[in-house]
Amino acid sequence: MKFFRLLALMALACFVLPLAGCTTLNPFAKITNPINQTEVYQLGNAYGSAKALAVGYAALPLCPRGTAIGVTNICHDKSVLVTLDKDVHAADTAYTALVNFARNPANYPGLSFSQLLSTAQAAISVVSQIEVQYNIGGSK
Amino acid sequence: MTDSVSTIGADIGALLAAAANVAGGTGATYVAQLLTAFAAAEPAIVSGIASAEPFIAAGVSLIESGGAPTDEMWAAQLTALGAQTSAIDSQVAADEAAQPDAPAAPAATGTDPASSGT
Repeated sequence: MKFFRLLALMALACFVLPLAGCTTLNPFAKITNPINQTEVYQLGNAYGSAKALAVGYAALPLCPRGTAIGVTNICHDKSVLVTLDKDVHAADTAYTALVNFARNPANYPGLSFSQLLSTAQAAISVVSQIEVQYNIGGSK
Repeated sequence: MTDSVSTIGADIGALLAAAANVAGGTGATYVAQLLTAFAAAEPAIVSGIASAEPFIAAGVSLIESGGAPTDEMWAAQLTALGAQTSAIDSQVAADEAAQPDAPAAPAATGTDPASSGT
């Protein structure tokens, strides 16, 4: 009998405590909108600036088949540009998803801002890594 | 501005290349090659810098205003990003037209006649 009384008390507590505002014990409950649109926008600007290197690289003359890039043969490699293009498209997709969410989070109730932000940052980082790997826009 | 920079770059390249030819020698030839390469690459360098300009300006503008990005700012940014991607896409297509990849070897079908004999 004591067991059933305990069970009833626990059930009552489970029902009443949230009504009493006990959910505010959660430290994140008061953060109603952790989305930082300015952060997203500036990420886009950083991405655009990084992508400008890829645009400049693409505008270089195409390396003749069988020739190596050098100081007297400043050109873009076809396969490198194909790789960059693929990664740029992936980064575009991730960033657009992040922007859509940041501007209208209510439309995407199942998505997490931090996850989308991380995904976009990672995708943009890949573009920068490719540029560094092939020394695009810099001097090694 | 881009045109004037390109013109100046090409002019300087041509003048120095001519001077190097007059001077003669391996070093001079190398300098001439460097300058020729730079003159060919210079429009691309300028286009790359120009492509970054609106993003830097927008970033600075937002910091100065201290506000949140407006609808117009979002639209302008996404349009500029899309234009960059289109430029790269176009060049990839042009590269493929200029240097088509070798066609893939046809997949083997049926029985190899060389190995089907008795």
